[in-house]
Amino acid sequence: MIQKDLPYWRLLVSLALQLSTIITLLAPSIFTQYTGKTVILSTMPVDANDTLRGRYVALEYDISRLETLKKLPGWNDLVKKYPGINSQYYPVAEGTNLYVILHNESKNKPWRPLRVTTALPASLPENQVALRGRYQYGSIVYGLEKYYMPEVQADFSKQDIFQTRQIRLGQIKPIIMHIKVDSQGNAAPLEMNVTDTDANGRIHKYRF
Amino acid sequence: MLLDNFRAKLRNSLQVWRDAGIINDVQYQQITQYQANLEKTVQNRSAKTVIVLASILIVTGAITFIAAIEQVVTREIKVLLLLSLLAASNITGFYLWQQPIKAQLEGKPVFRKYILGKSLLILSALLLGVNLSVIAQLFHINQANYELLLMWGAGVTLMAYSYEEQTLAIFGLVIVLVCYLIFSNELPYLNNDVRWIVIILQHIPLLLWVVFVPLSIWCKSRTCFILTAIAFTLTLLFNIKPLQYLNTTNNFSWLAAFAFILPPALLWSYDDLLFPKVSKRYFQRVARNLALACLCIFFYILGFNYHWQAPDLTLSYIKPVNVSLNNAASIDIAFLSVIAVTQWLFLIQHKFSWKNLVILSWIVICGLAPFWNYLYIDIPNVPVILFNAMNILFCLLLIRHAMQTRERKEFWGGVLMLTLLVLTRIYEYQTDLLFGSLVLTLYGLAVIGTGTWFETKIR
Repeated sequence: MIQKDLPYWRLLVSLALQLSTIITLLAPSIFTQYTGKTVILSTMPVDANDTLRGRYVALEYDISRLETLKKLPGWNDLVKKYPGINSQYYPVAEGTNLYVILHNESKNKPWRPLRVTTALPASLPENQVALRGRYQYGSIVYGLEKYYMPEVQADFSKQDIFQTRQIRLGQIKPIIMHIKVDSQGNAAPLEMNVTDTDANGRIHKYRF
Repeated sequence: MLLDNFRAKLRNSLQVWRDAGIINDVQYQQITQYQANLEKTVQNRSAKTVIVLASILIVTGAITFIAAIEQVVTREIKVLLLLSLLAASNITGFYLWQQPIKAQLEGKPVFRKYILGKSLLILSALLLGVNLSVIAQLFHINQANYELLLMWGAGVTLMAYSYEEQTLAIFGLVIVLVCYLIFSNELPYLNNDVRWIVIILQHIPLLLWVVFVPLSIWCKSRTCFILTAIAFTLTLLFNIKPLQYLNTTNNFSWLAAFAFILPPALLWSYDDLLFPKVSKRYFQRVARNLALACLCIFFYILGFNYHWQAPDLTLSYIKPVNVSLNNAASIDIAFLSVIAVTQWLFLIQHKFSWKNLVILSWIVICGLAPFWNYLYIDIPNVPVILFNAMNILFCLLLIRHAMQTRERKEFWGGVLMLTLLVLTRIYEYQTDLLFGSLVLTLYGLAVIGTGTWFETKIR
């Protein structure tokens, strides 16, 4: 049971190391927040019950869908390089990494996908970014899909859009996401704008 | 309760016995005194139970409180709270843990604070995990579970390094292993992933050997060393999957050969003295025992007929193995081989012994197993017979050694291994019932005979 008499700096070293693990966890996200380009993405208007899951907000983007990406140049090369088990239903191998090149046509408008590549492009024009995604269970995951946001639930639990959406699906405005994308294709969320479907059409802004 | 009841009864009986003259006054006094001491410990135990219950209540209260204020408090305050909780637990734990050591060095009696301090340090390790997961959630970091677990495991291992505490070392090892298990489910789906975390997890055997063996020495923890050795062997085998290289002709037989060679070779040649500032052999004996166990298990596994069936007999079941070379595994093998060769050079130059040579030849036989198919020998079942014979030889040598040194564990270990071998072969070949019964009866008689002889001899 008896061990060495440890000096007190050991405690300091241990605390510093523990803190450094926590910082290592946060570092990539902070790096992306500070160095990345701001990109605006619009989500798919989906069923409210799907979007608001308890205290979590689950989002789906245009570029999450295979239907969108299939039309883009570069998709066929990707399928050729990493073929899935079924060309119709599972065209790409599970877990394949890909980069979607996004570009914006005008300011404050959602960015549109331009093409798909398997490797990070060496250089891109000013108005384009490469966003890294991963093919998973039939859709593309960018790490921007699920957020723990109790405040959203607090705002919309009573009567607002997430409930009424189901009835008036045609009139829904998509949720607009502002994200940061760094040079490696990693993304971090900045802001989420949800439009109220009530008459006033107020926009709720949530900072991440 | 039961104990207390027994004491009350005993107290009554004591008086009866004294009155009846069964025990004299002095004995009565002594027993009563002894009783009183015992009761004190029972009271202490009740006090402990109350403290444990109370602390569970306090922790539950704290969790409820956090849940209640969760919506109100901002993110920064939450992080600050979590971090200060972690720091407080570390600091008080360290302080309480070190105090009795200082007291004992000064010749004072040792207090229970040691246990409390140690528990607080373990609590800090748990809190680190809580911190990581909550902070990841608060800052919206979408990460796979195994990434968080690896961070946590790394943190706990670093804690173990700085506190030289074996419980933390084992805890860190377990977390890393759980992380690897979760990751191995994902492994087939990581086609062109380049995240550093994936690279680390692919090299886990090397990492285990390089990080946790020095940690075991640092903390002087036998358990940690044994767990590390077992985890190392299993992860290496799992990464390479050597058995798939036995029955088909392929380009990467050498990968499988290394999978069979490296664990026993590294463990047998392990020497604590190779590490700087180590002057005592802490784990060499354990490592050698583990190496022998490892060899025995390899012989046992390779003795199954199933692995050696020629491909043409199993046409319907030819797996398309090793389409491409497993790069991560080959890098691990390169590094580990360097370590193994260094250890063996040290071993040989230290002292020549026939034992080392015998073990080395066994390791080489294991390593040559994947190349058997290239020999094109038409006699069937040669490798099966060879490895079974090796296994029997091993068990007999073990039993003989046990008889010389009068080691009971070794003897019965050898007998059990031999029994397992006999039973497996009977079931594997579905022998005639009559023959099976004959073998089992004869074997049982032999075990009874040698067993009783051995037991009388060591007495």
